[in-house]
Amino acid sequence: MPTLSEYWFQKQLLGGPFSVYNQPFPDGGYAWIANGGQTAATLTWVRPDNETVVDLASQLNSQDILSQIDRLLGSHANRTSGMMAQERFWWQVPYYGQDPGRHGEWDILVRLYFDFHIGTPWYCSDANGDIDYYIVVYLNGAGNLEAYVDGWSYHYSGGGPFCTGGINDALNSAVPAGVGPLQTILDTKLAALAEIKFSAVYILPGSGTKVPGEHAENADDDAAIAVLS
Amino acid sequence: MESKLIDGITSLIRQQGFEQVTRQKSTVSQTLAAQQGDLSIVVHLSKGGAIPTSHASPQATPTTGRDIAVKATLPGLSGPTGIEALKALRQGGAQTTGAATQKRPAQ
Repeated sequence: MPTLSEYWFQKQLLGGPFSVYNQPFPDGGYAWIANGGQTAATLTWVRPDNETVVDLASQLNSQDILSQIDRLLGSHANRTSGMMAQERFWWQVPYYGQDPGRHGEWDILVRLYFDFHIGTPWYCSDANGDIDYYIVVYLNGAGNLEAYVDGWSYHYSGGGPFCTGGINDALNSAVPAGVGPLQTILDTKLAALAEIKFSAVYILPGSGTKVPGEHAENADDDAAIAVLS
Repeated sequence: MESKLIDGITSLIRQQGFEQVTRQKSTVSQTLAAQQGDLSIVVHLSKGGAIPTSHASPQATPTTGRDIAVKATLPGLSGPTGIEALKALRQGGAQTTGAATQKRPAQ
């Protein structure tokens, strides 16, 4: 039975807190969803029976993956959050300006990220920020689901007045070193679907749940890959 | 030059009785810190101006060897780039599902 999903975003399309209401309906039938509250943006999606969803946050927050991230960071930084996922239009990706033609304007990349803390000597403030990897999700010519790490970024506050140079050195070393291991993780996680031929791929905000009724989630914390077989 | 300068300052502050001397080096700066009782001294030597606290970098050749037929997108979206387009967004979209291709509605 297909499901009509309507997303109400409190702050912006595909960002921040949102509610989703799922209403199944029979083939050839129809569904309706009413909303009386104010929202910044809405998104309505008909989701067919043959949709398969991969909830990224739940897949990437296993202890072995988090331990692997911590090993990569080593003594450079401490991870202070779990792995989060967020869908981003290409023009919202921070390195868009370096190569705008790299993707289509409305292609959606997945931002996988976590928060970090770096302690500093007494004459500097500690640094807090996030480390981000941008993922392109696609179907290959045979219709198989694949993904690759397209780029990385970091952003932090603090570290002043004298420690930002050292912090940048540490991050410029540790963050790109995570690309290879992350690619391996993605390949491993998607391997379960490797033999299935899909006809469409899209990214849903939040966990991608189809459970009937209303659910409150945050599009800054989670995103789901959805494919149609 | 920078190392000699910091070495010289280090010797000077040690002569003045400062202890717990530490030296932090990065590609763009060196920082020397020391303490003497409730007195503290910090000497910071840096190249260039303000140091950014963010950085973003695309991978050089991430698509090499990859057969990319369809990237994830929001079907039906089109038009000018940017936040203004998103603010004005009131669009619908559709996607064919018969093959690994994607169609956008006529503009």
